[in-house]
Amino acid sequence: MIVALMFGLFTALLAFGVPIAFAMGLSAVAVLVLDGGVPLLVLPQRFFSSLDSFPLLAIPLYIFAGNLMNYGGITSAIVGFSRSLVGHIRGGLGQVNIMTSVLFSGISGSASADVAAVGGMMIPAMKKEGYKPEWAVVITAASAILGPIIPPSLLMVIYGAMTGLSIGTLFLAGIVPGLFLAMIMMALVYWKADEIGAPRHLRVSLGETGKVFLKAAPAMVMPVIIVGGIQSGLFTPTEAGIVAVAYGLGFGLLSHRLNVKNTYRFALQSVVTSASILIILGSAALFSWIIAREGVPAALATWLSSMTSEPAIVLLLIVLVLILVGMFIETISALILMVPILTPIAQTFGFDMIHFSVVVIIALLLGSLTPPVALIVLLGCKIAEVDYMKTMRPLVPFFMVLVIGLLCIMYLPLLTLGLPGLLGAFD
Amino acid sequence: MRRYLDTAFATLGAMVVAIFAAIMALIFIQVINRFLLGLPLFWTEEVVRMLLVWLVLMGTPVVVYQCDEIKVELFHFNSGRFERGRRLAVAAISIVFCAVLAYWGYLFTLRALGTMQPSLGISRAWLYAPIPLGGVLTILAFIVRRDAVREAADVEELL
Repeated sequence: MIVALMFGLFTALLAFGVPIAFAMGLSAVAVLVLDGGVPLLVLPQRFFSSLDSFPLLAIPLYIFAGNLMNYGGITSAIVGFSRSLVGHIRGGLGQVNIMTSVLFSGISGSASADVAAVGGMMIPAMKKEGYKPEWAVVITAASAILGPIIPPSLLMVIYGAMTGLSIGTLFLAGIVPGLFLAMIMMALVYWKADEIGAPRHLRVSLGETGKVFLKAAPAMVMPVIIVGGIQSGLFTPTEAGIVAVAYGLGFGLLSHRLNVKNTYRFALQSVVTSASILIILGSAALFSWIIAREGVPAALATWLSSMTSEPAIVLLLIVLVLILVGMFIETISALILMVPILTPIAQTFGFDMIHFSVVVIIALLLGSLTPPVALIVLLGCKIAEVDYMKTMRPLVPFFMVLVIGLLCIMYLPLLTLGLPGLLGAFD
Repeated sequence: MRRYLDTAFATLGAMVVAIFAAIMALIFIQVINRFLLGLPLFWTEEVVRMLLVWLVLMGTPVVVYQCDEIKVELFHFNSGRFERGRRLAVAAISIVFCAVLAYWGYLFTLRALGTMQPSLGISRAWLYAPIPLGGVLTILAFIVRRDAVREAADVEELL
C-alpha cells in the first residue's frame, strides 16, 4: 500500500517537473514519515552506502576520457573513416551515420552524448546532400542507442555497481547485440534509401581509406584499452577508466590542441555530468530500500507466476513495462528505478543475469525512441531544428526493426552470451 | 551580486575538480603501484570512495546552479506567470528534500563523530559530512540561481 502511494507521489512530482533525484527522494521520505516507525536516519545512511562504491568511480572517468577524445576533429575523423567504409553502399550517408555511431560508442557511454556529437556533424551534412531532415534526425537518434549497448557503457557500469554483476562481462555481452542492431538498421536504410533521398557515393580508394583510418584510429583504441584491459584481468573497470583518461590526455597533448584551460573545462563538465547522474543513485537508495522492505519484487514474482509459468512470457511482460518506463524517464534514471525491482524477479524465474541485463538496457533505450514521447528523437530535433511531429513517420520503420532486433536478442541468448563465453568470462 | 554568486559557484566547481583530480591521482598511483612498486597501499581505495561521495555532493549544488539537473520535461504552462509559479513550486519541493537530507544527514554525521575509521585513522564523520553540507549548498543554489527567465524562452521554442 505505502509502495503504491510512493509510486503515485513520485509520478506526480516527476510529471510536475521536479528533478528526478529529488522526486524519488522526497516520495520515499514522505511515505516513511506517514508510515512512522523507521527513523529518517536511514535516509543519509542509504544515501551514503549507495555512493560508497569503487566501481561507480568509473563514471566520471569514462565521461572525462570521452570528453578529452571527443575534441578537436576526432568526430570528423570517425565520420571520414565510416564514409570510406560504407559511404558507397546504397543509403550513403545514412549508412555512414550508423557506422559512425558504432565507432563513436567507444568513446561515449550515453545515447544523448551520441546524438549531440554525431548528430551535430551528420545531420547538416545529410541535409546538404538532399536528405529529408526528419529522416536524418531519426537515423541519428535510432543509431545513438548503440552508444550504451556497445562498450564502454555508463548504463552497464551502473547496472554492475547496483547488482554486483561483473562490469567486464556486461561490456563483452553488449558487443554482439550492438553490432547486430547496427546491422539491421543499416539493412533498413539500404531498403528505404530512395524514400530517404540518399545519394550514393563513389567508393573511396584504399590509400585514402588508410589515411582516414590513421586519423580515426586513436578513438577506436579507447574501447580496446578499456574492454581489453578489464578482460585480460590487468585492470578493474575503474582503473581502466584512469588508463583511458591518461590515454585521452596523451592524445590531446600530442595532437597539440589540449591546453590547461580546456582540460579544466572538460574536467568540470565531466564532474557536473557525473554529479547529476550519481545524485539520482544516492536519492533513489531509500526508494529502493522501501521497495525491498515491503517485499514488492517477491509479490510481483508471485503474481507473475500465478499468471504464467512460462519465463518467455514473463520476459516479454518485463520488456513491455521497461519500454513504457523508458518512454517517460531518461534512461539512466529509469535503470536506477527498475533494477532493484527486476533483479529479484529475474532470479525467481531463473534468467541468466548477464543476458537479462543486456535485454533490460536495450528495452529501456528502445523506450526512449518510442512515440509519442521519444526523448532521444526530441533531442535530435532540437539539434536539427526539425518539427518533432514530422519525425513520427520515419520513426515507425526504425522502431519496428529495433523491436524485431530486441526480440531476437531476448530469445536467442547466444547473441549476448556467446562472445563472453568464448572469451572465458564465465569460467 | 550576480558576479559574486557566479564566482562563488565557480570556486565550488573548482573545488570539485580538485577532488576529481585527487581521485584520479590516487587511482593512478594504485595502478602504478600494483605493477611496479608493490607497496601495501590498502588505503587508496577507501580514500577514493570517500572522495566520490564528496564529489557528488559538492557537485550537486553546481549542477543545480547551472540548471543542469536531470528532469522530465513533459509539462509546462503556456502562460509565463503560471510557468514561473510552477518553477518556484518545483524549487520549493526540491528544497524540502534537500532540507530533510541536510538535517538527518547532520544528525547522522554527529552520531559518527566518536567512531573512528580504523583503516584511515580519521573520524567516520568525515565520510558523512558532505551529506549535510551538500544538502545546504544545494538549497542555496536553488534560491539564488536564475532559472526562470532564460529557460522560459527555451520552452516557447519547443512548442
